[in-house]
Amino acid sequence: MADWSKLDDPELVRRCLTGDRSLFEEVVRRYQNPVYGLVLRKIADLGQAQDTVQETFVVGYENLARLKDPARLKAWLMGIASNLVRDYYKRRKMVGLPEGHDVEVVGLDPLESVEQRERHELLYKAIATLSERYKAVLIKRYLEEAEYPDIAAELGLSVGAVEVCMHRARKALASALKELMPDL
Amino acid sequence: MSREHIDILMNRAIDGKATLVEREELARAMLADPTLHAEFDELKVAHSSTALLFERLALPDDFSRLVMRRVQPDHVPTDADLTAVIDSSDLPAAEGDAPQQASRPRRSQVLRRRANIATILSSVGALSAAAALLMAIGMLTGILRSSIAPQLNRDGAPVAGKPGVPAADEGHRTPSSPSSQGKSELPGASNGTPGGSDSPQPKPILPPEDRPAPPKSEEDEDDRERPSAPVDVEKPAVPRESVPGPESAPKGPVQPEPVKPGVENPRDNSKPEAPDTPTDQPKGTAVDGGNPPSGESPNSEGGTRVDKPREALVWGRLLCISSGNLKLTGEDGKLVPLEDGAELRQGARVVTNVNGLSILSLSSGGFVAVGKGTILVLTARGVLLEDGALAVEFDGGKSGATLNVAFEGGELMLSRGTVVVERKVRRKVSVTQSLGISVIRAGENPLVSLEGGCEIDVESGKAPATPRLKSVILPDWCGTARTQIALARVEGLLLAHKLSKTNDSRLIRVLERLTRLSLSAEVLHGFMKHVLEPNGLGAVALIGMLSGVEEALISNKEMTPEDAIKLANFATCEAKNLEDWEKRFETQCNLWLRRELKGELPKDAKKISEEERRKAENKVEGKDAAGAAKTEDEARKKEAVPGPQGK
Repeated sequence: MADWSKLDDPELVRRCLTGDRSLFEEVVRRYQNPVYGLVLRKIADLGQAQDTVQETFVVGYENLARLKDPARLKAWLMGIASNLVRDYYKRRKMVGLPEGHDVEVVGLDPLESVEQRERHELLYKAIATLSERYKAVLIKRYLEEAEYPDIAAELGLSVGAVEVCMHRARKALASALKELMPDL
Repeated sequence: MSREHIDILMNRAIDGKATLVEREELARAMLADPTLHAEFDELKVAHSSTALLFERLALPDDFSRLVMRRVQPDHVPTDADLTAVIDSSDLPAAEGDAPQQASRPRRSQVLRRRANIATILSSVGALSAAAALLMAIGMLTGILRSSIAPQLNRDGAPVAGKPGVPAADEGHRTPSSPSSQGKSELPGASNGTPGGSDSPQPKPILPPEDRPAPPKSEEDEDDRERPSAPVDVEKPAVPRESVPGPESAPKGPVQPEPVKPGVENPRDNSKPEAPDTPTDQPKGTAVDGGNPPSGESPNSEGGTRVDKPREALVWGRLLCISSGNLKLTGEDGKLVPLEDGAELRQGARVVTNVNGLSILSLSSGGFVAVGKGTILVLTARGVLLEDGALAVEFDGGKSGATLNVAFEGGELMLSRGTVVVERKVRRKVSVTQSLGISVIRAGENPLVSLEGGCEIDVESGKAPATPRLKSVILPDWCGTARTQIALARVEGLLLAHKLSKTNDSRLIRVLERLTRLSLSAEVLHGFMKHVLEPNGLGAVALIGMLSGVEEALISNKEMTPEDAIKLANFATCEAKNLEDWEKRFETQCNLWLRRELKGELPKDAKKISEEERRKAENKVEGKDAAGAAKTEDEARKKEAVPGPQGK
């Protein structure tokens, strides 16, 4: 299988549009985690978040020809994801559910031990209650496995500020774990 | 050393990025302050737990492939392929116009589809009646046949099996008799080839004889395993849909044809012409006559009966294609596009494209909305979902009938309500029950019953998880599909109102929003019918009413969509116009809310609510307090007058 990871975004998009649509898989691979991170910061329901990510790429695939500046592919996909998240909350609002009404960890393995599952649920809920910035730093670091300088550049912060944010986020999670599971 | 600096050092140490100097610095600080050490340990635990959690939260490894399967569900034919398919087919000219139709304005498409839907719905009644009549004839014939069978059996072979369906008959199928080939009156009956090469009629839209797997990429191969779910393709769930003889062959573009669905039906594959037992044969397709010597044709000898090949039973129809397309997998693996109103047969395998949304109506009742990138097989008891997503709407009523959705690793039996079944990841299916009741069977595990407002994941080879209760909002495509169904059901009434283009789209939009909620199709249908009937308030008022319902749902969070529609329906009873309705509906909502706040209704709740209603209605009608009091006094007087029983 050819390694398309070296292609830059404009070239990737151009090839997708002119011939091999299956190259879109590389687009998905490249941006699935950033998009997922963004969605996960907004939608606590894990199943819904994963659906939204999938939907983002489906919409992206269907509308790829409408992308004016292929160099901004990532921003464009993020925009689609944001719109889908907004739609999701609009629908929820229609039935009167507040944001973060159901914090579910549906993607976790039901067969893992009860204790482990409880801990994960607790941690997930604790992350959901963190401020937007802390959540962003955590998700970028752990999910997207981004380095501090990259996180700093993306969030418009200094590297030191990101480190401080990370430390405080970890501290908040540690205290949440300690409070609810003192025997940990 | 500042506290912030220590925090950063701890952070770096946890991330493994601290230099030797920094580690030593941190060690010194922790030695000096034991609380720092405890804090560092807690942070390490939090870090490892978080890392583990995010590992679990990560998208599946094959996520990109899943996305590609959604956007490119199968071999996507090029324009040249499509042209070749269209050119090579004998489909009527209208079917070849699909590209032109696609370029038509949406409005005309909608109108055309609605017209088709209206035609289909009107023909459904006639077809059902005809089917019932044919079934009765079939039963009578069966009784007669059983009584005359010994006479027809010239060589006196004992008749086994069920009356009227002798086991020996299985060896008498015309296709095996060379002499009968030229004499058979049924096209394609001679060699069992679908359609028959010499068939003068248009190529029928029928399930393939041998359904070869469509072209797949290597990596998709294991993802497209045949589900092990039980699928009954052959046994008809609805006998009235059976096709007993040539006279009952459905009219239209589809003609009878031998079909070997080949899906979860090894008997069909191995012995396509001779089922193991007489009971395997669908009703009405039994071969009559005795056991003539080989080489003799029954119709040449007896002259009374013509053997016919086995036919796939009618499954239902393609009600409409809302977007994209729906294609039937042909015997050669090629995809043949279907048109609105096409008849579908059991065993057919249909595929929607990346933006496809089609609505199928079952002959036995119920609707299946096929989402984008979906592959499904039409079975006798429902459908088999191979990939993608579908929404099913069904009401089995008191008969206990179910509509089954089979999938890899299990089967869902829907008694009534709305269910969305979606294959999310490999070997895992998500089932969302918006309304009604259903049961899930997954292998040998105990049955799991579902009720409206819950969701469950079923993974092949594993016990189903416990259903999660949640407020179900169906996806957009379900709303669109349910809207199409709702509109189709009141098509006749709606056409009489001649809505403007703007109002038409307003109606569609508001319905699309409402039908995503847990709202029974029957309740909605009842309401729409009530409003659209000749003495109702009309289609324009209906749009306002539905918007009012929507607003009421937003402002009253405790109110369920069904409650809101029921209140709206109640308010419609005496409303003179939309404004009047709005006032009455508001009153109804307020009364409802008051009752909700009070909790359980008191013993004389009925009386109280009646009085409240009367007061509220007086207010709405502009009667003053005195007038209202007068009315109440009159009512009391009436109650006080002793009737014959009071004496």
